[in-house]
Amino acid sequence: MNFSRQAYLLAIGILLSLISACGGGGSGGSNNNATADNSTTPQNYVSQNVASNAISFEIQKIPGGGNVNTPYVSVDICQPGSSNCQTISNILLDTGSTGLRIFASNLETLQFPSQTQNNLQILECASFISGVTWGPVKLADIKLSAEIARSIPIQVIADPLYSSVPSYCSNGSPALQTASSLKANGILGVGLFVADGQQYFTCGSNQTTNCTSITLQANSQVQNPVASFQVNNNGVVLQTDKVSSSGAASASGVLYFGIDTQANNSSTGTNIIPTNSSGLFTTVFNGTRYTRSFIDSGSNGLFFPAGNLSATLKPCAINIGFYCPDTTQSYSATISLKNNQTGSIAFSIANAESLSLSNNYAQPALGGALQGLFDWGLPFFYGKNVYIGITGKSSNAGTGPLYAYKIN
Amino acid sequence: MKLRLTALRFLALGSLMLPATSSAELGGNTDSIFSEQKVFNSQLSNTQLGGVFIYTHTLPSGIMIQEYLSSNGVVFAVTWSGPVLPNFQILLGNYFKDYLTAIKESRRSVYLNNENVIIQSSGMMGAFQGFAFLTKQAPTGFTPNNLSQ
Repeated sequence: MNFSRQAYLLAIGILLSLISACGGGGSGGSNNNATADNSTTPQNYVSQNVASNAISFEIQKIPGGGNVNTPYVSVDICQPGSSNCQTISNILLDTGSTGLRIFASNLETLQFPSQTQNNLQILECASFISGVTWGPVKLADIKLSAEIARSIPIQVIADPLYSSVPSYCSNGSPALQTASSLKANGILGVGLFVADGQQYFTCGSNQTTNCTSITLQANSQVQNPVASFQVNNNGVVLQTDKVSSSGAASASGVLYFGIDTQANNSSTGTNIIPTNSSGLFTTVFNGTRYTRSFIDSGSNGLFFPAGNLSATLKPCAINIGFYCPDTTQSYSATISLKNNQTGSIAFSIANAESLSLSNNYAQPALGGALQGLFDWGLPFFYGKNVYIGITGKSSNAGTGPLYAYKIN
Repeated sequence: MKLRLTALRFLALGSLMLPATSSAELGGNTDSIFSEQKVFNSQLSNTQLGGVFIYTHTLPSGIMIQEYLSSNGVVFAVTWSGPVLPNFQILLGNYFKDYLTAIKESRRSVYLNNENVIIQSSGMMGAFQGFAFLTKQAPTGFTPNNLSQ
């Protein structure tokens, strides 16, 4: 591959925008062959139904670029109780948030009923690290293979009636009101929680002024669709291809619904990570305990403190949030498991700016700096089955919130 | 009618003044902490750690904010945690622009370390956490590792 300087800068830009709270970019079609074919124009990603309780996802380039280490799915969304449905591609598969968020501009002819309080439309301001999403809460059926979440609250971002983001929502932060700012056509949040716990408002008329902050009971908030399924509703399993530390153009995976509810989502033989009520657990790395660790498919790298390794794990020259060691480094960390056991996790950190020179969208060795905590982002998922147990719901692995993993 | 106009004008002036009166936060002082309490509608308590006063705001939204006041009377660090993000424009004051620069990288975990300030914002929806730390204003020997988050 002969890279022009422009391509190099573009790649750097992609890396920089990588870790998005919402990020991502996507993927090419239904090609499950992991070999790179850089001559192919990237296509919108549409999931395949792998089983009645499972759909495929893909980490790959999508039209418009997108982000590395970002898993994409598609979602079928329907007017409640009807066969009036639409498939939306390139949705970020996010275990670090709760609920479905889509853009009004992606809806063709569908009309969704409003979620109301005292006959007033409910609006939501949802927080992501990279910015906020603002828009009305609507009711929709969500179909993922044979699973259906019926008439559940979702967020419609940038609805024409409520398109301007009020200052009391953004507070000066960026508004993620377009697919290009979000780098996805939406977010499918299938994390540890049933309801999203964000900020809700009602407004006097179809305006964003004169709005009042309201308290909304959990079952009226934007909902994790998985928790609303009839049977396979206690969590999800993400099974992701193994990728070498040098990366791959793309990687495939399967999202299973339910834990221990079918033959294909058994937790037998997994390492179970209990968490506190916020979904945090303990990681020990290089002799230091980080008690606020989490696992998150929406983080596109491994983020952790370099500590006394800072001479090796140097910040990159341009993108200082990422690590740029001279050569690829191999490490291991231990995480706290059930019954006072520990699990050892091996990982590599490569030079992020060198990685950005490739056309690889699957990058297991991408890492960056944080202090005081360990964010096990998407690189953790490669070559593993990762289980996300929803709060208050039980499986053989225990009652959520919990994580579990199995190295394949 | 005239009265009403006056009232409106006063209100407008009041809201214009707000940023100035509440401009404290990071780099601010005790006054700014108390003006923030009004803006945040928070419960405020404080404890002492060595020569440092730690003011803890608990907001109706469930956010907890801690402000670290040095013996010189400067807020040299703030921490936050909660289900949603705090109003960074108020909390970070003059350093909000540094935060905006850092999140242009659009990451779920943001880390910025320049000559003046370290800012970190991370976490999942429902469990956000972070801190901002003024390296030059911090008491000698006090590092981000001393922040109780």
